[in-house]
Amino acid sequence: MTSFRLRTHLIVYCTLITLLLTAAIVTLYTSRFKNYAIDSLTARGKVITIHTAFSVADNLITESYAPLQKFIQEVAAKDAGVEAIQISDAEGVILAATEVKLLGAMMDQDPAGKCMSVDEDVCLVIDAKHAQLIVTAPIVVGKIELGKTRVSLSMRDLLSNLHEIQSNGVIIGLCFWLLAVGIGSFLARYLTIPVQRFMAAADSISQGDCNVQIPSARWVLELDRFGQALRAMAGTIATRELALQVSERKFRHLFERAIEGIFVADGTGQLLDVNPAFLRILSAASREIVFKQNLFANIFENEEALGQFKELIAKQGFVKDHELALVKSDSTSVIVSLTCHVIKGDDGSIHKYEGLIRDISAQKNAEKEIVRMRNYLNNIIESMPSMLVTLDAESHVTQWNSAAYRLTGISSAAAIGRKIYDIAPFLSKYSEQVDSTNRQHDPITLYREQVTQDAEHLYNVTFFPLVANGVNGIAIRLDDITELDFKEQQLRQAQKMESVGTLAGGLAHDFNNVLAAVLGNLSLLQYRLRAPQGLPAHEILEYLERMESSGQRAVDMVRQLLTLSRKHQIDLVPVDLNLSVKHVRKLGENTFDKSVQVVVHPAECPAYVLADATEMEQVILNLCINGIHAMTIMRGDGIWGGTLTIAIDKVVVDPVFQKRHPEATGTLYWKVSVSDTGIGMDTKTAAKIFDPFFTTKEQGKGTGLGLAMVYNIVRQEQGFIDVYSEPGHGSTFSVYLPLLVREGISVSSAINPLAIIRGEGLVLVVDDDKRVREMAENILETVGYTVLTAENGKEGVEKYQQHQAGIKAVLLDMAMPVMSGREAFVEMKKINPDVKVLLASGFRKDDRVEEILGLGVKEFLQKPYTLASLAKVMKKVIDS
Amino acid sequence: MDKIPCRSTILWGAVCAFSVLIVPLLGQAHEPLNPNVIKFGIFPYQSPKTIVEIYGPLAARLEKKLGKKIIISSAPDAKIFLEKARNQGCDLLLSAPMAYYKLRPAGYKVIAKGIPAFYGGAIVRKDSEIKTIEQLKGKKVAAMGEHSYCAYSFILPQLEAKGINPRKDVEFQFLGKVDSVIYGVINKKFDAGLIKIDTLDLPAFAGVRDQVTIITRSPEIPQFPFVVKISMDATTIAAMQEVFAALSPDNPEELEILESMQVERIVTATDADYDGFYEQIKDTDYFRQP
Repeated sequence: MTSFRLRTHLIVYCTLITLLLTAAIVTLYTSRFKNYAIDSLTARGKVITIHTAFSVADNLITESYAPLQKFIQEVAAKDAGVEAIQISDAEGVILAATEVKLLGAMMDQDPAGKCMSVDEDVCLVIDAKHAQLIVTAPIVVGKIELGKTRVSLSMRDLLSNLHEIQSNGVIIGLCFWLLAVGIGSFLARYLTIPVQRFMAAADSISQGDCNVQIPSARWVLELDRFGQALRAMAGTIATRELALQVSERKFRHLFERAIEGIFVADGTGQLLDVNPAFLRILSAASREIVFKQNLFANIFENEEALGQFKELIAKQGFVKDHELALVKSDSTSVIVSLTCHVIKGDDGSIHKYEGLIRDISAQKNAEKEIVRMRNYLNNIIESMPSMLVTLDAESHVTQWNSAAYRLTGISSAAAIGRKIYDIAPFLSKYSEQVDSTNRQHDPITLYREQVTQDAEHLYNVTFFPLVANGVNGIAIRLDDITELDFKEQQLRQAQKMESVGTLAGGLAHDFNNVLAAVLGNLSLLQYRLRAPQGLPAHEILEYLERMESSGQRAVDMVRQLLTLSRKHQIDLVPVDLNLSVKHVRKLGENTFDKSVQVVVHPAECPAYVLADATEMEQVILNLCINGIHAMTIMRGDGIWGGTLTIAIDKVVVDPVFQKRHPEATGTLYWKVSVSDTGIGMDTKTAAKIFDPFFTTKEQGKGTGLGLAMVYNIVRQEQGFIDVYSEPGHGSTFSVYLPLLVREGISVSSAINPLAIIRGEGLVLVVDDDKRVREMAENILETVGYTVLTAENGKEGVEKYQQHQAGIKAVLLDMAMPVMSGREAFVEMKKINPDVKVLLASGFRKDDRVEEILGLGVKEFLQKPYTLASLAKVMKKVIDS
Repeated sequence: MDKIPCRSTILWGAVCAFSVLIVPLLGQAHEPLNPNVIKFGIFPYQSPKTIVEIYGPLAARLEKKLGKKIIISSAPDAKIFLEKARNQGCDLLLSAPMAYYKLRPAGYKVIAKGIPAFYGGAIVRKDSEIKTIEQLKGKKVAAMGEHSYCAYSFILPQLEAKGINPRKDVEFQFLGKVDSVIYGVINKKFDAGLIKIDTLDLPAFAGVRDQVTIITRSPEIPQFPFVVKISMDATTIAAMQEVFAALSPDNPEELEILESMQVERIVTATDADYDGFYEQIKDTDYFRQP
């Protein structure tokens, strides 16, 4: 298309606009003038016609025609524009006319054509030939048309004026055109120069010179804006060019450093560009080597892979994460994930392939490993002797191992997806545990459960929360402990027999004594009977009673041994601990080492717990035997014997106690404490004493099963054990068992946890055990005291000296390094003879304690103490 | 308003003068040649346009009945009317009784008439001092024309009976149209006016009816007779009479026609029906004129 200069455009457009405007204005004006003139002429013609019709009606009715002629002559004479008037009767006969020769002739019905318009029965016709407007109106009276009147008006003046207007319009239009051409030329010149400068600048910008000087054209707003826009464009282009370079560098950098191999190949598969990662994945030394290769012919490992690739490309235009094997430069294979798309030309043919490859060999190996591991784990699960079932949140089975199949006869395929209670109804009774585990995510273990109807089999049932793939569920494990239970019973029996063995020495002695008494009395009876004087009957009876008494003692001993050693089923019944202690003490009277003094502090009321009576006695007996061994056979210091104290106390669980004993879930416990004054042990040893087969005794003297058995029994009976020991001073084993409230047995005597006796004032706590010291501090502060602490006797004395005036009482531990409790008390007594000291110790109240009490200590408090007991005793000390 | 009657008067004067010269020529030129046309001439007792408006519906009925075109015609005045009629310019005429008596010798006969009869009277303004006929002496009195009994001739004997010479003691002016007479009195151009009394009942004069008072009445005057040329065939006459008789006051449209003609019915009549009245008026000056 031919381009014209701006100047040409402007002149042409100005000319066209001017001419069009002139033509439009002239046409519009002449048209409106013509319409107006015709309307005026028409109105005049109507007025004349109607006036004439009205005026001549009476003449027509009265047939007075002569005045008609005169009348129309007068009307025509008065108005120069009226060229002719005709009046006809109803028949159309002209009765009067300005052209006299027409009188008597018929009036032309259609003069110069049809009516142009009919308004109020008035017909208008323009007679162009004669330049006349002919107006014809009927002469009507009532509904009777009497005739017609016709007036012809000249249009010559009108046409003359129209021609004049048109001529003037053309002349004015020409003048405007000349003016427009002149202005157009000037404007063109005015605008062309800056535009040409802008064009030159734009050329420079298009050639990359964005710093070109853009001319200013401030006198023309649009050009000025254009110049500004051009400057802004140049700036933007420069900025974008820079950004493009940066971006290109960035993406080149990404291309070069990408972990995935990136490639570009032409439509035949010939590689055009690759990044280093691509070379690395294919173990190629350089791009040049790769560029000599064809992606499809040389790098795809096989035709099948190529076929799949091309099929996918043809189908969807791209492939994504398509796994295939490529041939590396060293002829080995590498498995890659290929993502590729094609770039097609206008004809639909493939121009380029662009894509990336990711070496997924390691991933594939990992997947294989995962599969292998999964199989391995499945094998483990399947080979587990325990039934293992996993459920989702709605209790549908998600895992079902072989043991479950063996137990239920239902295969894994049949079980998975079904409700557990539908396929294993015997688990319905555990729905509460299932729901609880689901809800609280805490594992629950039930021991020795008879799960199925088979009464011979016992199971430990464990419910533990399971979170897999973000879906909550639980796992149920049923461990068949039938055999284990049997073995455990055997083990207990063995341990009992060990205890019996331990007691055997003492028993032999007692039996010898019994036998000696029997045999001695028997031989004496025989001798006296053989004597001639014989024996009186009452003496014989006396000998027989002695023998019977000894025999009865032997019977008791044997019965107790049998009781201890017999095999029995666990039977949890209310057991009074006082009786259990009494039985053990009686058993030990002849069997415990005589160097050991046994002291018993029974509870003031029956101490009922829910337990197996035999096992309970076994626990107490084992603890006693351990304590006696610690005071006898395990001592190496030449000292033999000591005091074994058995005590039963009621314990109220308060927050402090519970903090130290998380196992305490109840509020009231019976505590059976067995204290000895033996060799004691360090904390390291104490941490292991409940481990099976752990023993500190010489070989042959202990199996390491005693305390393990105690631990198991106590746990089984919902209790727990606490141990306090100090090397060289002895040990205290405290067994806590839930207090059983029996009907008729009031627990009102129990200490009301809320009935804490509060006090006030400064108390000095002296204890080497940090935890005990902090606990005592917490308790005393809780009940209202202010506490000062010291970690040994010496520091305690120093602090007491400093604050003696404010200190109301001292809580003093008995066994401490640096300075013992006894020594500290003596020093404090020197400072203040009235010092109020509460002595605390893990040992029972023995001679050592009695000695210190004799020195003036106010009270003794057995460790471990509780909030209530400490508060009560401390108040008592202060008030003393 | 004032200029119109003035111009009209001049125009009519010129027309009258001119008509004397050309009417015979024109009348001959418009002699109905077409047998399918019946020319209906009506005595000029109203303006020509009013006459056409009143009798147009009746003409339409005649046209329909007779199957011939009816052309209504009138005349500028009674004299010209008589001239046209005498020259047999009309097939059917509605003539004033006085004019009828003059036309009878020219070959016309009565075929119908309106009923009831009417009266002429002298009217004055209500606020006029004139209350009796005697007071008309020396006054200007507007009348229709010498041909009119109801609007002129009747009062002459009454004046004479009161000792007043109507030709000397009263200034009569003939206005030719009844509205000119009525408005001439109301506008105080005349002291009294002579009119057909029931003219005041026309809707056109409803606004001025209460402003005038009738001071004297004429004797009973028969309605204008419908007359035809003697030569008219009986069938046509019968058809015409049938049309006239068919106009019933029970039909609202026909009642309107009758009321505009100021009659209650149109009944068949003959010349004999007008002989009695002729005997009463035959001695008036009007019949002494040619």
